[in-house]
Amino acid sequence: MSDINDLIRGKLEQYSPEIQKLALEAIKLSESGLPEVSVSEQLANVVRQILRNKDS
Amino acid sequence: MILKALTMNNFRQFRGIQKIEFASEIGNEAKNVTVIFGENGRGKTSIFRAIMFCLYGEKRLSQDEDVEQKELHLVNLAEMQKSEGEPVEAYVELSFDHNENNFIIRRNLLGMIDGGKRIEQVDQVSLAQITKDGNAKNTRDPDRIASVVNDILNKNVREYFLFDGEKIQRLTLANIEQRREIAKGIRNLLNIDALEVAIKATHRLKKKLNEELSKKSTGEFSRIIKQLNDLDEKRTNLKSQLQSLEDELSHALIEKKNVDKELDKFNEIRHLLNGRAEAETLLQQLEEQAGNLLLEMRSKTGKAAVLLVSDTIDEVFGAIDQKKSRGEIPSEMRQGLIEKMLSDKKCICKRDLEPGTDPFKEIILWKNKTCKEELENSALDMWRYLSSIRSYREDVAITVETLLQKYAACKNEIEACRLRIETLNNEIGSAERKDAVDLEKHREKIEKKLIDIEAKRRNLKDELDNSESEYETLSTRRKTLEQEEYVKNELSERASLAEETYNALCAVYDDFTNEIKYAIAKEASNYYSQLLDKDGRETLKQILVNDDYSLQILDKWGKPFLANISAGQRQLMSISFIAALAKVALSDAILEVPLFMDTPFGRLSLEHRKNLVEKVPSYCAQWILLATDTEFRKQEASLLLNGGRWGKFYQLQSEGAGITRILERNIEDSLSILSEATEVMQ
Repeated sequence: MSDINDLIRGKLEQYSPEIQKLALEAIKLSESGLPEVSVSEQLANVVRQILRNKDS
Repeated sequence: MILKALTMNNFRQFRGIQKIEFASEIGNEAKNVTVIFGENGRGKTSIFRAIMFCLYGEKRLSQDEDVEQKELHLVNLAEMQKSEGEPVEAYVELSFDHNENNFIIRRNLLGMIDGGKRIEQVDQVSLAQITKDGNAKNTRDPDRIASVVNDILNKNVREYFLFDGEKIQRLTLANIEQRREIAKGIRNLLNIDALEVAIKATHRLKKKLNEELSKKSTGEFSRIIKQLNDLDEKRTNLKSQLQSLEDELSHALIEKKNVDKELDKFNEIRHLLNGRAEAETLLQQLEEQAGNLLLEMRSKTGKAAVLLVSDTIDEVFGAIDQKKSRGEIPSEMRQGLIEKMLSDKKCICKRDLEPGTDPFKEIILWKNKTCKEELENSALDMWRYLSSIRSYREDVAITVETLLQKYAACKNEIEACRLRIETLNNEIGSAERKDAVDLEKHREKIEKKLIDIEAKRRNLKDELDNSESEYETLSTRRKTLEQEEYVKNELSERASLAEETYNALCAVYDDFTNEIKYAIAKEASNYYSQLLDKDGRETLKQILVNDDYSLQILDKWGKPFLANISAGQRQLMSISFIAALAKVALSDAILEVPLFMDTPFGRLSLEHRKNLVEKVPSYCAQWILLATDTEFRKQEASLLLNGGRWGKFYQLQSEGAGITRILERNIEDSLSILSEATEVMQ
């Protein structure tokens, strides 16, 4: 994610770790050129993963 | 993107295979300036065109908007003529580096002359990519190649980095559609594109999870989730409608601008049209007047005819008048009476007249002096007649002369009037529009449409604001319910996380774009002050970046001043913006895209040129200058030499009609090759 502007990352730091993770993952998937629908589907799995990790 | 080399074969003026290697060192003091100079028509723009053609497959440049596609030729004509009907191969090959990969694109062409017509066909394209690991990837797929190139340098922003110096001001004079395209490209460059997709994707996820949650929940919670989903849908629709209205507004504004332009043209000639109408009315009046004068002259023909025999009248009158004075007409005694006296041989005094006597001889003499009575009467009538003619002849002469003068003057005026109408017709030319009234009506319709759109927009905005407010209220209620009812099931958590992430990304997006715009504006203002001359620096204080990434300039009183700046200042503004974009986008790194300027100095004053030459090499990774021999002279060369960044120098030299040779020159020889400046540089 070398292309992501530091500003964006910096601004996300004020949010919870879970939100940061999901947001950054969303941006990373978008940067790879995937369409919005595919990104959304992949994020559904990411959300589960994040919450599972949080619980554990 | 760092350009390494451009190879052309039979492309435009460049007959045969010819190559340019660009100065491409990287680093603070690196030699990154390439100068290509030559007289007008030698092919400077063709080099620029070659690069654009090779990268994007496009024949057209922005300056070609009035040129028909079929009139744009890329294959060298001399070579085609030499080949006499056989196809000529041509190509452009561009080698460049990007992100530690090396790329070579080659685009082929075929051209021939067939039956006097030039036929050209774009042939295949290929891309070779060598990664930093040394792996090679090749493709001939045009779509794939277009995608790769567009990712490196988006087509929509190429004008910023590969631009024609003469047209640079267009970037700051862009219409709404252009600004939108540029904004889209810049968002790509700044990576905002990815952020926007991320926002849409999380929104989609949020919506899906909320729908699931709504189906699985009960009671008030379920109702609230459903309401939130409905409101969300409503908000999305409203935003979409607002966007459509914005588009409609843009189009209406463009249409109005076009109509105004047409009407302006018409208004410019309105006074000419009025003048012509007046002249035509006057012409009609004058022709009528001339006709009347002609009729009047005709009516005088009878009497005026005497003027033609004026001398004869005087002669005859004079002769008769003399005879009258001498008493010859009428004679003292009529001839008839004298003949009676001679035949009766008796005088009127009753004395006898004997032939041969003196009295008889006297009477004979007398008789000889007389003439017949009828003749005398005729002569007397003639005298009387001629006398009357002579009395009115003067008046007739004056009348006829006056009429002739008036007629001549009238004809002169008619001629002058016709000339004026012809002049006006030429001035009006093709600008006359029979449908001007329709245009005005059309404009009124557009005005009304704009008002309607604005009203709808306000209503939609109000509705959207209400929906947002309602959404917030319901969201708060949802959170409360979740807490109160401990609705912390996994689905609820997933939905909440998606929603909160979506909100976070939206907030970040707003903050980011505002900060980026502010940062770009601040840097651009800084660069601008470096490039402007003293007077410019005093007047032009700040560059602003609008929401759509269009630019504005504020003067020292904080008022918008863009419409008043010169073309040269506009050019510098665009350059400042680009440099600022680079600095902000890559956090102080210079933009790894070449600044390719075609005749950049055309609109710049001496001091601006000096500032440009001194500063720009440090703004960008590569600066490629295409300049005419009158623009790039010893002065500019000295500045570049002193700067130490000048790496390559090429001269374009004519080798005959439509043929140019690229000659590489030593930079050190520049001062002997180039001409002196006419202005004095301070």
